[in-house]
Amino acid sequence: MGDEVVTLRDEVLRLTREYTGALAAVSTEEALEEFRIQWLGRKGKVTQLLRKLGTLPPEERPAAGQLLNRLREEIETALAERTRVVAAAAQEARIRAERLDLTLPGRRQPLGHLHPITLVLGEIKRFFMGLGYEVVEGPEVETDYYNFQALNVPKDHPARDMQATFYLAGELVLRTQTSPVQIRTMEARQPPVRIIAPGKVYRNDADVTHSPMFHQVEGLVVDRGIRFSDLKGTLAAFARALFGEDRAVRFRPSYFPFTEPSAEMDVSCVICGGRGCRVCKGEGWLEILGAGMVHPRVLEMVGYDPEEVSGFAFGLGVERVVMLRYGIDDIRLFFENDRRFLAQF
Amino acid sequence: MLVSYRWLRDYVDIDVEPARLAEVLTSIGLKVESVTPRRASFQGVVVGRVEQITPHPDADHWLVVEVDLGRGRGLPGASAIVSERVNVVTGATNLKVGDRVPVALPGATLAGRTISAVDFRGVRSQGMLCSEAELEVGDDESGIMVLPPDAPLGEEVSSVLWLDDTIIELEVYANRPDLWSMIGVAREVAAWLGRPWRRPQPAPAVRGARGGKEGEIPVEVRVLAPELCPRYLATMATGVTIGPSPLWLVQRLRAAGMRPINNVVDITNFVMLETGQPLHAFDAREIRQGTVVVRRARTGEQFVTLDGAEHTLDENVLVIADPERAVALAGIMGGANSEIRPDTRDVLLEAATFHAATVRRGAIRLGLRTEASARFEKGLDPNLPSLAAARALELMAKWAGATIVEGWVDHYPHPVEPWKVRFRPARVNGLLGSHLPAAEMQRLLARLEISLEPAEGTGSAAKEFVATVPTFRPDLSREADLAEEVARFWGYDRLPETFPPGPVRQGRQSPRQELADRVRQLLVAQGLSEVITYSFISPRHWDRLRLGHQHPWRASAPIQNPLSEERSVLRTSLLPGLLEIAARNRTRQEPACWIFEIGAVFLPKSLPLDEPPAEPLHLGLLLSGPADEAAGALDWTRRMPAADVFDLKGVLESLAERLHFQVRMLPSEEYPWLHPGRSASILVAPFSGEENANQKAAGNGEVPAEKKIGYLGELHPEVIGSYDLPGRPVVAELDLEVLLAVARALPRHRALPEFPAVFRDLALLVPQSVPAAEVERVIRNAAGPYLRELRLFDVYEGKQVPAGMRSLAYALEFRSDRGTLREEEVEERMEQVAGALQLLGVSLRGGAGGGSAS
Repeated sequence: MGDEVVTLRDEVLRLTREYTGALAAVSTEEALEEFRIQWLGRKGKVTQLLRKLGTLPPEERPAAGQLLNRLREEIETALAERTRVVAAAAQEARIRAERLDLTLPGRRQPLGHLHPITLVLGEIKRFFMGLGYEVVEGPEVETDYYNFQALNVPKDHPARDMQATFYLAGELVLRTQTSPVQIRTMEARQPPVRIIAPGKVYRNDADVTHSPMFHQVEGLVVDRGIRFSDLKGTLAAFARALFGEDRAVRFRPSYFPFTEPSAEMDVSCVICGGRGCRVCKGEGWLEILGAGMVHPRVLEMVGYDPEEVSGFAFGLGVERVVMLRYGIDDIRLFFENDRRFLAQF
Repeated sequence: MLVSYRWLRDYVDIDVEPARLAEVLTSIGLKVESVTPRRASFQGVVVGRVEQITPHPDADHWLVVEVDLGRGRGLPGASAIVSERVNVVTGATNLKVGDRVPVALPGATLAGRTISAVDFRGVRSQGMLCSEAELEVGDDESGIMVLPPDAPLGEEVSSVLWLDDTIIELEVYANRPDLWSMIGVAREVAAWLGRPWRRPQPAPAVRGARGGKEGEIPVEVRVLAPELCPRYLATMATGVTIGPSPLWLVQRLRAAGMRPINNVVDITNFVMLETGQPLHAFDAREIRQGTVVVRRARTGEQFVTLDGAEHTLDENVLVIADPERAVALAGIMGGANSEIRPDTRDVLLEAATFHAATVRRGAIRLGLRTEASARFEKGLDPNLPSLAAARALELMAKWAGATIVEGWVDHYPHPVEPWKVRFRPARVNGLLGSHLPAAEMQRLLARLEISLEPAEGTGSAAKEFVATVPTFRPDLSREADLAEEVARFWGYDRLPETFPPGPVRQGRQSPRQELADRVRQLLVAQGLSEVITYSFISPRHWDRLRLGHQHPWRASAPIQNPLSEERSVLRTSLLPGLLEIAARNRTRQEPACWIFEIGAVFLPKSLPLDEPPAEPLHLGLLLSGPADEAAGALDWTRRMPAADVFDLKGVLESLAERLHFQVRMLPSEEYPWLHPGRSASILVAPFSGEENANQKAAGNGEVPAEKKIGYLGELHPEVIGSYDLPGRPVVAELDLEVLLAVARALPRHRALPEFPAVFRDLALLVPQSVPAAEVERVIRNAAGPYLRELRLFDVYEGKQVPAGMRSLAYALEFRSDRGTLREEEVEERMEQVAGALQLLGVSLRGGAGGGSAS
């Protein structure tokens, strides 16, 4: 082996040591490029050595070439590896620099609120529509006939005391209940009837628990063979859907001029679970709705034959349900429409 | 109706606690309003008898009263030995020897205060005599409370006055006059317990209507208004001694919340509470010519009731009179001229049945809702007076020293007999969903004194019965009524729960409700919150809204009996309600307000109303302040500007897009509550089916079927001022009924484009006098059918734009469904557009017509 080869071999060894150290010091993408030019570029250290190959004797050239090519490949591999490391580090640094304070509040799109009465009315409507009820409406200005007489409340009937009425002119009143919709519906169609009628009603009364305007949902089912037990089953299912499956439900006798038998439905108090509290006045029960079998006289007045068909009806005060559902204790809040109130629903 | 637990036990043996009794009453439909234990606020107060009253030796206004506390009685646990007789100093002057009085002995507590013996200028007072007010058993503080003459000496006053009782307050339903009585309640309780009960059974010798003979008393009764007085029973007691009532009577009256007055009056009140039949006792001396006349009052007739109030009557009021003057308001209240007085000797006792509605109307009109009228107006059993009169006479004989005059006068031309009601057990079971045997129903009804007999011709397995209903149950006239009685006493909770039989149908809402719900969702999604306001408003809004005298909104229907002027007319617009909310929120430091309401307005067809008003459903909107603040989303990354008319217009355009109708705003100065330069009418039209998509955008050309459905604009500065609103709120109101006819429920799908579009931008210099809608119309017409989208993306006025001009920049999208458009085709269109615009005085700015990649 000639001296030249030996020298070349030494040179390669030296460069090997040198590039390792130099590469280890490289930490930026610019330095990487600099290193590549310095070592592998056209005037780079390895390239220069390769050029020297031509000065070697022909028989030594293969061995020397092999040696140098191996060096070049080694550096290329190391450079590629180093490039990956530097890029990773750079990305890491960039990511670190981009850190955001995610405890800052989010940017929200303006989104309004449905009135809580609408929300609960929607729940009620969905429940009954699921049972095949049609949602109907009636006028808010009613005649004395539809609001009272057709519901078996003649003039001067003491039951009129239960509903302080706003009078307009002549026989016209603001309806005190949604029950007139029962009459209008039965007058307009033949059984089977299966409806609910949500809407505003008016009573001349105002305090923490009474509003001169509030909402009711009337329900009416008339068909052959409708029983009191159907009323119980339907309304108990409704109460459980609205207030929870574990609610106790109780029916007790009551009086409405347009139903017979009549009932009121209570649920175990949603606040105390029935142990007794301020909301249920210590009784453990909350009155939810009034109901009953449609009075045969009412059926007769709309031209139905009570020997052929029977039905049940119910009326529900919506505000009361909303108040129980959301823990609201003043009915006036519904109509004050304070933004801070509405924004809670 | 106040039901004393202790008193109720006079009639039925009750072995359950008051709280449980209340539950039972509730379960059988006697609605319990409250259960209140009576409690004494004192202890150590005993009954004493006044033995001697002497003036205090050293003080003019004081008396020394010697009281006897009875034998062997003393204050339990008291350290001092109390003698049987003690001296007490008092300032009260209402006492006389023999009166029984409450004596608070040393060691007694009175509303938390402990009583001790005190020297009053040398006289030692061994306790204190108490007034009603001091014992907190009544309001009277004018003198010492006088207890009944048979109150046992030395007994604790709290037990003497039944302050260990429990009072159950019942809400009696209008159809159950029988429950306005102790015996009515007792009957129901006994029926639930399945026990007999003790009804008052006046002794035969004093049975009034049942003893002696008709007409034997020296009284004549003339009923001149028989339609208002189905029965008038008059009886007499002579030689009464008016005095205090015995203890048992006082206990019961006080438990029912009534004040004792004197023995005769107390007895009539007691019998009313016991039987439900109001009675009236007249001083017989005052019934002139011994003649009772039942007649309608004369219009203008003056009458002083026994509470001292003077009333002016009319012919709708029924009075009891003698031939010369009225002596009582029938069924309501007696007169001062004939009331029982301390020297009354002979009593004329009235037990009558009056026409319910007449009593009710009269009591309402005169403002006299009394215990009596409350009972009469429910419709009383005309057979009840016999029992009540006999009972009262019996008690007067025993407790007022009366001699009962044999005989009576009874005007009762049409006696009411128990009536028959058809009763089919199968039908009742069918109505209830129950499976009760007929015998069980029979058993339950029998306890309520309703008997069931098989109908004629049917045997023991009868399918049909006849029920005989006692006359005190006017609420039971049909089979359904009896079904309720069966259900009540079988137990509502024992009836099954089922669902209605029959085919299942599809539940649904009306299109109107669907539309309203859809509008709500779309508005909420755009940051508006729903409000609900009262349908009645103040008519003062109309002036604040600057309405002319003939403006149709002013034609609002008034409420005859409004809560206040603020709520006295039915709204003809949703705007006042929205403005009130904006104003209220402002005063509560919530200036930003993006709200809407959907509700009926009331449009009279004529005034005064002679038919129901139209009730179209309206949508009202109000935007005030920035959206994000109103939505509670004020944030740190941006500042939203306060809403202006374009925000509101955009809300409506989005609504139109989603509900598939066409909307256009036509500038208008016709709305006095709006800024005349910033207001418009809202016009809508349906899509006829084949519209080019670009017609959807606002501002397109005239559409044949357009309807005006409302207004939009910024509030007039004066209106903003009169409601004290912040900023410059914008409002709109639409008639949803019209929208219902116009909006299309379903979108019409169009195929996605197959061929690429060509985009162009147009920067225009437009004279200020030319509205943007006109520019758009011209562009669309000139651009032809390939123009698929036209979008305004910039409006600029100011530097670089000549005065009187503004710069409008539009993005145009051309596309064909049949192939890729060639540049020349588009250029040709653009040249036509430029030409057409030139005729409007509009010129292209800068490098118009260049492509853009919008």
